[in-house]
Amino acid sequence: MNDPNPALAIFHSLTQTSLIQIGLILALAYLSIFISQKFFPWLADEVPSRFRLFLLGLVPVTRLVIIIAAFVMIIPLFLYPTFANLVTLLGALGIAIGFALKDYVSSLIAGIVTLYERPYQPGDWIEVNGAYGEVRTINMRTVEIVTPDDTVVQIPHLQLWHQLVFNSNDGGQNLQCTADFYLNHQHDVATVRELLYDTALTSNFLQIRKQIVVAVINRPWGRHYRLKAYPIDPRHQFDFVSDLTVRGKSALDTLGVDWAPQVLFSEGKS
Amino acid sequence: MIKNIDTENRELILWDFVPLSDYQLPASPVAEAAQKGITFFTRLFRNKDPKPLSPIKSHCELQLISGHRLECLSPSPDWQSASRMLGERLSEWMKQRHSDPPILVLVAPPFSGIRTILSTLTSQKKWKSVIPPTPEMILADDDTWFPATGQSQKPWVFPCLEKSFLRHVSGLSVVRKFLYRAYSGDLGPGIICCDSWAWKYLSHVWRGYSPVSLTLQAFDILRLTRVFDKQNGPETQIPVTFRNSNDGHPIFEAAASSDADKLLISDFLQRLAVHSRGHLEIALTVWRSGLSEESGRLIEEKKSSERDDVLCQTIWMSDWDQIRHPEVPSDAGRDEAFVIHTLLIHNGLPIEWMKALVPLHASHVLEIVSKLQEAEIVKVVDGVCRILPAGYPSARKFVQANGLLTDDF
Repeated sequence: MNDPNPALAIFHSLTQTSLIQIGLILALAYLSIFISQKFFPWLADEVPSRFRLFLLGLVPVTRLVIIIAAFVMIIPLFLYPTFANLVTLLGALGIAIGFALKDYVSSLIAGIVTLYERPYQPGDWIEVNGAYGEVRTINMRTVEIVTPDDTVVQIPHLQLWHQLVFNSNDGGQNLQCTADFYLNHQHDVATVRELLYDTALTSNFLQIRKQIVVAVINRPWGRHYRLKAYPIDPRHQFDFVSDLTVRGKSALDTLGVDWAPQVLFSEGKS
Repeated sequence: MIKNIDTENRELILWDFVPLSDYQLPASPVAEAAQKGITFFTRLFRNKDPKPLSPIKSHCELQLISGHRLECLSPSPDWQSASRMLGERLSEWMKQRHSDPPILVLVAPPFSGIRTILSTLTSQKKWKSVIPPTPEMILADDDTWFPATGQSQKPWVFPCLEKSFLRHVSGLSVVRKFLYRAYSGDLGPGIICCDSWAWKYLSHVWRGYSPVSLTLQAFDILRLTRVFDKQNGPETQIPVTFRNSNDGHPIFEAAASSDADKLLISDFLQRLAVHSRGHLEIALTVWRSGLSEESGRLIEEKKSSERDDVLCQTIWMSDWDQIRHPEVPSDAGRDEAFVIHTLLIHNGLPIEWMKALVPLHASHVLEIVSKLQEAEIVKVVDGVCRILPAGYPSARKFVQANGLLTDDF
């Protein structure tokens, strides 16, 4: 045998030109990903809101396509791309990564799984491990959410394997909001329900084609009313709930309804 | 571009009152739709307005027409004739209304002219017009303004149902009561006119039975041609030809051939019909804003072919792209959408009530109104803020893009 190390026979000898080509491909891929990550979110804010989630969803998909394309272009530059060579290389990488970077790679794989299972997409409002916020970016290893307090939280995709992921709008515009009202027993239930229904119906934030529900729960300390409705845009959810709460309270005060005693309702709150 | 429109075998009813399901928006030509898409994307990437195209007739040669001259060249629609058509339609309904609730609803898209037509008819027939409640009466659930029940066979007319509610927790009760009593026949025969935006909103407030509802068919290209074609009318001494100031082509004219059923109509009218969504008062506003004539002298020219002896006056119409169409400011967002939507579903509101109904700080509402006034989308007269006809198409698109409820017209 001429080659003292047969494992190295699968590789090209890297020339300066190859290295420059690889560098250029990586730079181009990085630049393309950077532009797509800026362009699609910007465009999503400019177009009518019904297209927003679709455009945001294109960000991770575009990134994956760019990475695969770069990978496919780079491989032949340093490797003889036969089936046997690829199997050998991937096998060796698999063993090395399996021991050294298990969690990291698991997150990367989970990141790819999220692209077709779509447990969350940019624009979704999700809760994982107590962190609630809007999905801003799906990175290769993590999902980046922004909480209502404007704090960015990075959640590794790895959580997908063993954590419950709560998605409030699941890729759509429909995110149910609830405003709670706690009253004592001395009032006419039908009147209060109608009043709360009209509170939602007259809200500027309301997605009027969706159903409005006023649920009533009897408690030992009084009645718990849950006014459920959908805002036009999931991003308006906190404004919407505030609007329902403020106007609902004002209307109930005008009606002369008594609120449940504070001490008691904190015990009985569902 | 000039199109040859065949009007043969088509009996055109100018003032056609139809059931809501028969309403047809003027069709958008493919080129128009494509241009809308391109315009949308160009708007995304530019900050400044594009430079205007230079017309064949320069601005110094032409002067805009206004005042009495404008009224002569482009008179107001013939509301009398429209009210006669409505009267005939209502007579048919009154003869057939044995089994239905004795109520008919006229749904009036903004600037469609229906309200003026109904008002003219009400005066002619001496029907009783119901005065709408004040906002204070609405909030107090005061029903003393309801038409008095009686045995009269003459219908009462409520010309503005949208003025009987407010988008407020306490502002819906009285309109529900009114609709219930009216539809149940308790108030006797009546005609209710309601703005199309309010009607859409009220369809979510009142989910009970709805009576016969009519609206005025959209003014498509042929109807608009009929309205604007005043050159053969008795009002003007010298017939008028409207020509595009860019290329000199007539906006519309009868075909020169012997085929009298054909009309040559330029692309301008089709774009106008689509832009105005078939609402006559919007189309008329845009039409008038584009008219100009050569300054200093009256231009007369001879018509070709068979009418060689007839003199004709040329009035120039600006090219469609040169007419300024007010647009909602590009930095407008959700708050502006709320203000515009509130104005639309209430068909205008006093500023004081807007502050109460829009979920924004009072000062912010005033800022938005001021910004929209500057953009010529709204106008405040005597403290009442309203959408302007020329600004309506942009306002509607903007509200729709923000996901808010829109009318069906």
